[in-house]
Amino acid sequence: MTFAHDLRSAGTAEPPPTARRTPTAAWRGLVLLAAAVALWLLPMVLDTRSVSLLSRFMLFGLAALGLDLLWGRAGLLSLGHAALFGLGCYTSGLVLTRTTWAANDLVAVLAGIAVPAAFGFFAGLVLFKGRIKGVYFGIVTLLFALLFEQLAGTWGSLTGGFNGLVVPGGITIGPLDLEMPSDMYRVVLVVSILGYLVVRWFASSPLGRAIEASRMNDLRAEALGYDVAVVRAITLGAAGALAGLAGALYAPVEGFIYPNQLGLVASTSFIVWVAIGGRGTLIGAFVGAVIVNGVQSRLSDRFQEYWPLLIGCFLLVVILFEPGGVAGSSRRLVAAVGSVRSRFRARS
Amino acid sequence: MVTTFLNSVSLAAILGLVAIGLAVIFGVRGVINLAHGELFVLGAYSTVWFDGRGLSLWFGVVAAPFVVGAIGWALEVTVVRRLYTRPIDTLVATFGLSIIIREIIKLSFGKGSRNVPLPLSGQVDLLGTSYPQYRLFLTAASAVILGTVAWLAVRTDIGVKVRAVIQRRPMAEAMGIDGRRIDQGIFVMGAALAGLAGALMAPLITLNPEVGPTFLARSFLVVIIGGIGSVLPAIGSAIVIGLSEGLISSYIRPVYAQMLLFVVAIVVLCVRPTGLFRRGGEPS
Repeated sequence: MTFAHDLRSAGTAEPPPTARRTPTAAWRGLVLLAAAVALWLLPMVLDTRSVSLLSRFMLFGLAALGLDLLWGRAGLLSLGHAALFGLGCYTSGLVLTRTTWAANDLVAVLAGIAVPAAFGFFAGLVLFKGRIKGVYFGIVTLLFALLFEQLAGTWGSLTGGFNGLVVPGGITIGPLDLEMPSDMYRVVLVVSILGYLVVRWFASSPLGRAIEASRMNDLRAEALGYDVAVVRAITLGAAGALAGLAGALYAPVEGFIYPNQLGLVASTSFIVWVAIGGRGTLIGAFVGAVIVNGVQSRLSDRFQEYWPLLIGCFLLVVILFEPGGVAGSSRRLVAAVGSVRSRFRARS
Repeated sequence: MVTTFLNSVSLAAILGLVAIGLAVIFGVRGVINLAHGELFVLGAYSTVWFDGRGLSLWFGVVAAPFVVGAIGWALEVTVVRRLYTRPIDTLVATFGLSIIIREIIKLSFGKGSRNVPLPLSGQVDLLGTSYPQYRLFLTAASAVILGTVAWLAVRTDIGVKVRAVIQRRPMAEAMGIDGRRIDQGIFVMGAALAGLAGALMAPLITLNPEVGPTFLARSFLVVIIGGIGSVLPAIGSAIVIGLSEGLISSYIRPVYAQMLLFVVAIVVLCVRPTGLFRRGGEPS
């Protein structure tokens, strides 16, 4: 098997498609478009609280997309993704509350993207140049999450400490006045869809292939002339940008930031969403975040107590028995239905 | 000053107990057990269980290694051994296990913090200051256990077998060493030591179900600085980390002390991935 072949088959991360079994690209695009239109119209039928909840879930999904890029594509499991998300939250929250520049809200969002992205890239450069990978990367990111949480709690004069930081609600970006939750929701929807498309494009670009190569065989990728450390650092930077974008918008949507959002438990949630949705599939991370959060918000208060336990069990079961997650199962289901149908056709 | 030093020594001893399991399991199978901190917490709560029934805490200290060891065995058999070939998935799976254990502790013992009474409340005169008896006992007991483990690792054929498996598993197995039994034995021993450390430490900390990750993080620092997979460097670096955290924390805020150690650990990981105390590539 040549290396070029490795790269080509890896881009799609699925078995070579046979035209009859999987829906064609046109169908898939049409379904996605219909879903997008339906989501756009959703605030007409939902109450304000649900709309605002849904914006939050989509932002979680956007951040989870960053983790999926890192974990599913580059093979680098971060146990501290919430540190990047929280960095975006705090950056935009601090700009929103502590400064009064012109176009303040836009600056807040941009800074919320830039700071975690830069942090991810440069921290990644240091770590990956030092040949830290695999489980070591997991440990280091876990320590990052714990430290950031501690730091946000202790550095009270800047962050408001363990009491958290109250962020004013409605923001204005250029001509868009996002006072209404439904307007904010639509912006979040558009940003999420655009974010997803950009990530897909990024993942299938030559750089995206190089990222996959670095996961599958880093020595070989290095021998082919890629600087694996830089490729990985760029991936971590991209994950930071996505998490930061989500966090920067999350701060005004939620209206309140607190140190736990940077911490280990929050990081766990991201891993759970990506694992359940199906790692490496990109859309799975987004769908996983929205579904898991949706289910959780529907649960009664009494059941809420057992939720983390349930999530832990679910995570274990997914990892042990269905590493492909929901996206993997549905793909297998489609393939199975297709093969049954084709066998049926062959007989008759 | 003397008190600070002695407290740091006792912290170092406890860290040694917790970190050994983590380090050796990593050495033998290349997997990290993220539920290790929760095993420590389980040990601590075993004293709470006995205390709640009006019995002496000593029962908890004695029972903890056996109970937590048995739990460790159950985890190894049901979950961890299925994932030895997928180290990163092990990280996720044991992360899931740590959530499950933490939530079960919350549901059975409550979310709040507890104060476990000291089983020895007297003071002793030591180096010119009066020092709590219990802390002295804790340091001595941990030192004895660490010494025993080090003796097992260096002077007995159990240690030789473990090292053989760490160095070259297929060859060791061809020589008749049962690799599966070594994996299991190491996992159970690591769990038992973490449980014992938790039980010993319980009276000295504000115990709540969430303390696992902080002890896990400290053990990681120990493992990173000491290098992976061996007992003696792990003990050595536990002493370094425990002493420096204790001493630095008396000058600056504990958070910044931890941050400093963390930065040092990352530098060590980048510059000397095999740990500070390793000369060649071979584990000792």
